[in-house]
Amino acid sequence: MTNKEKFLTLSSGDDTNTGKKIQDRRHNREQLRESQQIALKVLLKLNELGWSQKKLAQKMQVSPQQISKLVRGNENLTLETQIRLQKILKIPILASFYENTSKVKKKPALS
Amino acid sequence: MKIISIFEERLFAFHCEGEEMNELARLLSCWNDVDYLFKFAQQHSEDIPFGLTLVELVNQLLFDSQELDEILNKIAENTNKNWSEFFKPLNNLEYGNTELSRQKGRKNYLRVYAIKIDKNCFVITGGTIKLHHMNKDRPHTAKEMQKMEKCRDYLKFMGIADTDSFYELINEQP
Repeated sequence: MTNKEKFLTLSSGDDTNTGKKIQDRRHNREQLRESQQIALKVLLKLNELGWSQKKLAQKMQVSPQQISKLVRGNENLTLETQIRLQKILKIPILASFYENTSKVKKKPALS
Repeated sequence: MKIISIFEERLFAFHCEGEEMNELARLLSCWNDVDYLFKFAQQHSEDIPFGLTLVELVNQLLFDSQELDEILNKIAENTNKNWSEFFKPLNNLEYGNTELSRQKGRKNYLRVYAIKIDKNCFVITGGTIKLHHMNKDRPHTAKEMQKMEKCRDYLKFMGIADTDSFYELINEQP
């Protein structure tokens, strides 16, 4: 058996995970981009408010680990999580953020 | 220190002691992590290129990372492609065959460092986000240069100078 043949037997499957993760990211690119943009909005707002991720976890009543995953930007966030983030941090995530804002600007009542 | 096969017999990465992942896995994990990139940009705010805001830099790095995935996938999927299409000598003045040549693969601000074993066989030693000219000028890039030297010394110590002896080392690993 040549050196190369021996090597191929030994090295196959050593780290298939890295290649798989590349494929996963490529296939979920659009979703990943959205998650990353939400994560960036959250981090900016936390920075602006001077809040820690732990404080956000308390406000959202979730574990700090969940917030840690969220701000990495590779989580598939549920609608519920997005609504709560939007409400607590007052950042635009869903279209309802703009729709609700426009509803607030009510016309003055007729006298 | 271990050498891990990433894409068959063509691309390898060092797995340093105390690290959870091999060097390529670690880099890709960091460069796809918004929290990591945000903190990195905050820590290196003085190096943010002129005309870019912190948010624009993070978005650029995320885009570069996405492009890097495409480059890696393209070469890995096509056996007619050669990893030397991505990796180039670290020293721009290097010509001809240099034993265990220091190499860099780049995508805008991202750098992947490797050692060339033969024309289509590379071992990744680490990488960095490079926002300034000289590697020695910043601790995080200087550290990557030191790691590369350590890996190169290891290969030399193990008697690696060509492809055959490199494969022998892979076979001897526990």
